[in-house]
Amino acid sequence: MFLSPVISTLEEHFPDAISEPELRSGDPWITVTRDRLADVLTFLKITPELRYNLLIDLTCIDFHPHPSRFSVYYYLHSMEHERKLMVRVRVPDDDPTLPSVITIYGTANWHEREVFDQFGISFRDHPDLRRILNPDHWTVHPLRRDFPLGGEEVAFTHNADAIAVQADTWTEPVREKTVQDYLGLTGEVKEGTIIINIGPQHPSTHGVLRVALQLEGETVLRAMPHVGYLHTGIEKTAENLTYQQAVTVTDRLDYVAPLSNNLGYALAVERLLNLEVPPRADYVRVILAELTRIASHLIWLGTHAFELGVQSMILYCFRERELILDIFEELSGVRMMTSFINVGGVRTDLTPQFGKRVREFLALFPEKLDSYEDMLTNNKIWLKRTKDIGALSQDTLIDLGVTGPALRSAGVAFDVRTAYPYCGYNNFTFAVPTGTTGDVYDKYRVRMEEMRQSLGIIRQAMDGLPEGPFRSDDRKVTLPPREEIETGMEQLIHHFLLVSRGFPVPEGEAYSLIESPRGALGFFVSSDGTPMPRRVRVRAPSFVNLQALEPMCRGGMIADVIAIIAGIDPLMGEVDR
Amino acid sequence: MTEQSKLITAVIDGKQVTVAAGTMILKAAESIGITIPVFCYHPRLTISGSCRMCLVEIEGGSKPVTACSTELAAGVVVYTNTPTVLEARREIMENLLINHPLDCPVCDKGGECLLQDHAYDWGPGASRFTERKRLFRKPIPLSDRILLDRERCILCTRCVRFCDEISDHRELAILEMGGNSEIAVAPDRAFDSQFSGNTVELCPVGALTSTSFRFKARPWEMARLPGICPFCGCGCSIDIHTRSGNIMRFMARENPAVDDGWLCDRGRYGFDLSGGSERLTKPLVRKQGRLVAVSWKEAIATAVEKLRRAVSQYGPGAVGGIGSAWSSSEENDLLQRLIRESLESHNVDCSLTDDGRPAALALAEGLGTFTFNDIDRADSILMIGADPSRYQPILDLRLKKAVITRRTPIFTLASTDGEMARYARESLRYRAGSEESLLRLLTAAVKKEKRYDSFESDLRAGGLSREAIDRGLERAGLGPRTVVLVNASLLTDDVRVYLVKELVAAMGAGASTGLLFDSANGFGARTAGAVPGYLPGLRPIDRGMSGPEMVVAAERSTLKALYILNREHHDSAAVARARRGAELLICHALFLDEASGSGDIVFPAASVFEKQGTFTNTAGLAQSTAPVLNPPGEARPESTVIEEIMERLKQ
Repeated sequence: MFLSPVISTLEEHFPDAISEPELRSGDPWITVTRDRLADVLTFLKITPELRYNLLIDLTCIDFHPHPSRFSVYYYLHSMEHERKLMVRVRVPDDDPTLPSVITIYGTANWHEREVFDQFGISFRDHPDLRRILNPDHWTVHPLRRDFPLGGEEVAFTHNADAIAVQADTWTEPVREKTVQDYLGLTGEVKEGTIIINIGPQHPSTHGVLRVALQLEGETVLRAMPHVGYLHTGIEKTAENLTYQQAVTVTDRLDYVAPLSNNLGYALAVERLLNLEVPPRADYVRVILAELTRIASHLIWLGTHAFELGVQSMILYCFRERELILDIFEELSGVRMMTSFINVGGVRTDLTPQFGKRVREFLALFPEKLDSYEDMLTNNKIWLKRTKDIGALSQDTLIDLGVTGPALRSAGVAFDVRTAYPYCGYNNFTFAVPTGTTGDVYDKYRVRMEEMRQSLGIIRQAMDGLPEGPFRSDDRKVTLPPREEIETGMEQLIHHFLLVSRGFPVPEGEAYSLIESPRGALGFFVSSDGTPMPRRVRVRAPSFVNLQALEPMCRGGMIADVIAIIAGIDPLMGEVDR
Repeated sequence: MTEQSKLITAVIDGKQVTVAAGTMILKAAESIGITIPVFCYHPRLTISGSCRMCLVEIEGGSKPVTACSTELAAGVVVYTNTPTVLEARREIMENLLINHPLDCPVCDKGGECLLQDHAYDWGPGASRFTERKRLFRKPIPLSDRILLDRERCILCTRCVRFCDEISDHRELAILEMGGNSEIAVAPDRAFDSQFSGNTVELCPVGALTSTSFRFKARPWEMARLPGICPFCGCGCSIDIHTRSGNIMRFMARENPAVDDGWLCDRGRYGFDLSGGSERLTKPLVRKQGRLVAVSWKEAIATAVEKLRRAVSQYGPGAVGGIGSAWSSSEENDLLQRLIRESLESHNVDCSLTDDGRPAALALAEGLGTFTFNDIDRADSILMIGADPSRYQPILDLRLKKAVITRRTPIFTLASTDGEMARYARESLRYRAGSEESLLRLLTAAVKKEKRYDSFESDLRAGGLSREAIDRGLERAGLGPRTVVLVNASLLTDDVRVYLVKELVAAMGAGASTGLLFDSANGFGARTAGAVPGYLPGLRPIDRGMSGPEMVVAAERSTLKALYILNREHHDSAAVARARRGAELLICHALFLDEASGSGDIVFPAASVFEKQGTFTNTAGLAQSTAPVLNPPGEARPESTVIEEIMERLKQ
């Protein structure tokens, strides 16, 4: 059966290695045998009519207690042909290893480390396969389905004797670390160099990020990021919540853009449910997502400028951000962690004042943006600190999996809103700003323009906002209106079960990709047919983009490290999860 | 024979299915993984076909049929997922919900309610009903244990059918007709059956609730752990539901070898061992006349020292140990090892009021072979001195099932009135105390031997004649698959054991015999060697004093030291008597009361739910339990304490 030209080509060239072809939400999916994985991926990358040059994501799902429990997924995108492909490999239980694909896609580096860390699958020939999120001395793999979820008694002094504390079996003695460990080096450390840390506790690392620097004088030889300080097990937690409850933990991923995370997750679950949200919900979602983009960029701008010495910028940006947070509070009662975009639509309808407040903001903000640009765009010091700093080639960036403004600043016009529109973004006219060199300055220009474009999208959405319901009327998913519960038996029952047990989601997997302020944000949700997800994988753009930190910093000055980090705009909540 | 074992093939939802002829569509579908929603249907009750929820479509049929009551005919094509079927389910749900009260927030069943689940899966998302629902007074106590909410009842009749078919107490009925139908206790009856709790579990909605569990917890709050009921000799399988370190309720966990998925109320609701009292949490040692809390180290050291001194001063014959027929086999084994190996005494028993040895002798002589499944297959049943409805209720249900479904003849002889009298082919009374004569005469009657006047006159004094016995034997018809059940407490001496053995031998090969123990581990305590004259495995050993003998000896101060397990299950008066003369009284107890408070050393024990243990039911089925709670404070399982004492005594 002809599903797609891509699948046909693959089946032709790898007749024994390709199986289980299918189409899911417009993407072809295939399964590849482990021994041909590297060949197939290389073929997919270099063949001209395929050219899948971006590895969006590399992750694992544990289907325990099904036999053949581990499946590893490679989600590919072709910049040239603007289409995606999902490649799945089943990993045998008795030999949980895979070949590393780091030589094909450089971005696989941290992804493979994470899969190793969380699932225990080893990647052969990975140059530095160590844990990335969990402490180094752990011996367990927490995202495995047979690893305890929680709900076990916590040990305190008063009950320590009564409960069996398992944690002793989870760790081995902490090993003495060497300099090479910190820097990810092998071999001798160059004489005359200094090793220092930036972070994890540091006002300018945009969260708990630690960068181990090897310096020769003020020049950076190596910059190894160490992440995991903010790892709280969000993905594991989501496996113990109902689908609707899990929205609340998504707020805490990229926590300066909570609605963005809500949206990505909701779209994935809606895809699994085959649930369509009404048009009004789509428009409201777009308005909130774009307001969130501006709010997030304001934090980026304020902190970035502040870190480079423009100390007044942080006050101005936060002043404007307050207006947006006030709008969110007006709408939902909550400033930040609103969980307002949920499965089925949005939580409530727009309040009477919402439109007015948004239009006031739309009227006021362009002037503020002008004033920021006045202060920075042609400022000699700003230019000195950001021009030609941290520039990488387009190919390097794509190989590292970088997306978002960091990629667009180098001239690659890839934006998920236009490449793979969602939520009706194709109803709106907006430009995708790009830069040329990819340096910190271009990243600044791109994000500034993005804020302007967001204003335009919000205006169009407000003007065209349709009437109608703000969430799906499928009563098996969305809660009944409050007043109906008091008199309707069916409504009461549905409310009871939706809240206590949640709605079951048909078995399967769905990948939703959206453009968050930081880049391509992916939610890969796997359902086992029950009301709680089997796996909620978060493809965090900051996690992937941070891999570019090292090449960007190498050869530069120590002070540039701060500018580069700010230019990448990582958010540790989504890096570490 | 051939008709029943004939197989037929048909198609359900496009899948082929082959089942025995006569199988209902519901069962056939289940066998190939297709679930059809039901309310009134229950696998262990007769088919009602009244709720209409299981309607399915048959190709060529004029209207949908109920899957629970329609046989799968050869070659039919059945659909369980067509628009017609889905519409039928939706409309049945809508119909049921019209008069259903909006009680979910306060109804016990919420979260484990078939009505809720089916309403979500198959029913509409919103109500179209705008009238007033019909109202009833509620709740109505059907007994002191069960409450009825008529508004919630969907008239599935599962409760009525249970009482009619399983417990046979027939207390519940549907009164009135049509829209006014209601469940009620039948006139001139009371719902005091000891199986009433099963109706709460059967009820698909929250119409029947128990006073024990009402408003206590939501299903998702509770952890469910498997267990074995420790409250009688049946050893039914249960699910223990706990929340935050407390047992909330027991539910049935079907074990076809024992309980058929039913529980008796004593077991189901008996889990609150405390009755409000506080548990012992620290070891107590008597110092200067008063019991004082001490550390485990000190308590054990004191016990070791005092036991050692007793033996060295007075010899091993001056110490004795009492296990318990309500303690696990492991505990009893450890107790007898403590006494026999560590202290070199032979004074071991499992009760203070009865000699545990004869029943052990009976087991050693092969008189404990029956299984509950034997009841299902028996040709006839002979019961001597037994009233299972009091002491082995689930066995009683099993016997009833045999009588009701297979018309198994039962011949019961007892000294008191029992429930079995109504079901037996022949039910005779004998005077308590004349058991020996009874056994001899029964044996003679079975052998069809001549008259034995001395025994007959003894029995006739109690109103039992040889003729009656002969008649009973004839009516019951003893044969190769006869089951003989003897009340274990009848076996007060070796003579009676051999009389029973002779009786069974007279009945011929193949008859299976069973001793009916009231206690959860009467069988296991004996096979663990906690009786005079037997080591574990029923290997003979020197016989020491029995429990009653030890009480007398202790009172007279010839027995100096007494070590008692599971003090709550021993007669307080006997403990008091022993206390009077004994120098050293050590006991493991859950609570501090007069009896335990009279001890010299009191170890805080773990309850049966707080430790691992193997219990052998009256049919010889050994079942292990795992702890579901932690013992409070410093209380410890008896086994760890005894092991430590034994270890110290070695040094």
